Amino acid sequence: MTKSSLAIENIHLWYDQFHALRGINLSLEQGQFLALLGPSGCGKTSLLRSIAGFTHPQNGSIMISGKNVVTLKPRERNLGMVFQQYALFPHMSAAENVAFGLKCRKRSRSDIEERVKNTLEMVGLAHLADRMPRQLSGGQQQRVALARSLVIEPDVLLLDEPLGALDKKLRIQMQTELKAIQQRLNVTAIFVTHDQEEAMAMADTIAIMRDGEIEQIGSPAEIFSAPETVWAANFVGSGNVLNGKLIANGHGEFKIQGLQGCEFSLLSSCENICPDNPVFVSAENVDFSLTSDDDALIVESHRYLGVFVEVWAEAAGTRILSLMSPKKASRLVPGTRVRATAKPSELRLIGRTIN
Amino acid sequence: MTVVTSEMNVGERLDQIAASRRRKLRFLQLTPIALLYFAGLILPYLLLLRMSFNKYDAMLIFKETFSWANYSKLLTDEFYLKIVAETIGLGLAVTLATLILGYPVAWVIVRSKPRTKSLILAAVLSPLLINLVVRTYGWITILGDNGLLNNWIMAWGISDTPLPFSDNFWTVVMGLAHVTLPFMVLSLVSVMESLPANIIEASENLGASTWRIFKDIIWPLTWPGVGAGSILVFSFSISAFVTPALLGGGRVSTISTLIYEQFTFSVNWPLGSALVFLLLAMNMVVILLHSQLFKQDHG
Repeated sequence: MTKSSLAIENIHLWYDQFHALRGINLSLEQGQFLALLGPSGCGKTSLLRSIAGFTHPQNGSIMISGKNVVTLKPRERNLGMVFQQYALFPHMSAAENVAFGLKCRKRSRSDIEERVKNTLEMVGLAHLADRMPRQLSGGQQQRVALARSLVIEPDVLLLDEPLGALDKKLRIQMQTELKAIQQRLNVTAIFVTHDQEEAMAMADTIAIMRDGEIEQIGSPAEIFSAPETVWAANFVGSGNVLNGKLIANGHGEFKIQGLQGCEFSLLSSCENICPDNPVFVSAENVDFSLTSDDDALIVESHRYLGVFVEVWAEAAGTRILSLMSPKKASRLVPGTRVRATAKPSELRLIGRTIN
Repeated sequence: MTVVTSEMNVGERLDQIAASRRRKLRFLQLTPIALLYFAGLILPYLLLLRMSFNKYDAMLIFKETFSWANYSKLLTDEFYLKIVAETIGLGLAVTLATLILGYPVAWVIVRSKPRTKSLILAAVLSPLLINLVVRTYGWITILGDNGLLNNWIMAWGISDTPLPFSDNFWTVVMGLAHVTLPFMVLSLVSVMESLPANIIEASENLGASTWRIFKDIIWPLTWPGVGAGSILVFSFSISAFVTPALLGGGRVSTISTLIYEQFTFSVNWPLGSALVFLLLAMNMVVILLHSQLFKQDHG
């Protein structure tokens, strides 16, 4: 029974001359929650719309529950989709909106009533069933849209940046709720977002997309802690992607050489590290300490974020970022000489180095 | 204490000065148009209203009295009732024709790329660029007994005598639909352009057939545009004079052509004036009906 509920093979999509999707392969098990994460223009929405049937890839196959759907019309695919601006029917009440898909499926009236009631209850809107969309808040409209796409028991639930229009607090609340509902129904879901925090918080699998290709796919932990490419590390991590040379230090420790003002060592069990070859490394939780050495970084700028301050320091073209408390940052005014250090466990060799 | 009151007085006085200035300014801004409306519309209407209560007199044109005779004649005499009915029928036929012709056109306009959009819009608006009389005679040269169409038909031997394309009710309907189509299309376009994003995709995704998308989603959401367009077209059509007079060939009588006859040939000014107010009343009814029927049920 581990037949994958969605399998995408070698999808290519061109818009005139523009190659929007360049050979996408994906496979999702029943109940998996995938986030398509990437900057705008990376093809994540094109991929979602191809699955929904609104755009037509010139090449490849999309199998839903074992059936190739590429030639099917959107209405024949039995997918639920939540749109960015919800696309609720403004002339129908919340309940009528939810009932629409069931009416299209010619369900009996009593069946429709019961399912609409249950689904609205599930999203916590049973008491607002008769309201018109314009009488509902953004979050409530969002829930109606979700209920409308879930009530038809879709094979796959597609979500196109559904939380983009909500304010931050509500967004976080909806993230939790959406994930809980998805898990309860065990529905396969694909979620498009450009917000990596959102992707990490909700999905069990993340596909990072770049220029119409999947750059890396894996669990949130894998994506965050083991980026395979410099680009992925830059996109997901806190911003410190450095290149230098590794020098064996004994005891499985490698010192990174060639970075002015930095003292970074790396623990690695990798046998195939070739010393003296240039490598790319991502460094999290870098710490700055004052120094009077010549071999130092110069503090360049601060960015105040509330609880933390981002402090950037620079030397010989390498910029390094450290998050610290405002109190500590106040001692590191721009122009100060600092040394960057990090625990070996915070440093990671980036998988493929050429990119 | 005194300081506070004096401050309040100053504040109040400033408010008053500002308010009176606003009033004066508004008055100045509205005066020219108000004068124009009064001299050009309200005054003539009042004179006509007075005239409609006078009595027709063969010698003196009219006699000053105050009677409802003209109105009761219009509302009881079968001859006039028939003309009222024909006028309403004409309005309905033109409205329906422009709706059926205009709806798909508006849809295509809204879904086109900017360039195609302006091209089709220009084509739709083109009837408004041609002089009314020229446009009407254009139809006569095509549809008349000696017109293009009948010449071809007789040349090809389809018929020996000219076919009656012109000088009837349907010619007038066509002529009026030609002029009023832009009003209908523009009303529909403005409503269709404001349809919420992705709404059609959402209905497709939920499994709706094309017919259901039209019936349950697009038609109800474009209903306000249908209403606005219909009222424009209907009012224009029942008040039109040149098109029914020329394309009807004297065989199509509407309230407008009747008014013209009363004032010029019959010289029955009192009855003509009463007809003016009957037409005005019909337009009022349409506007009231519109505001009832097309109440924004989700507004």
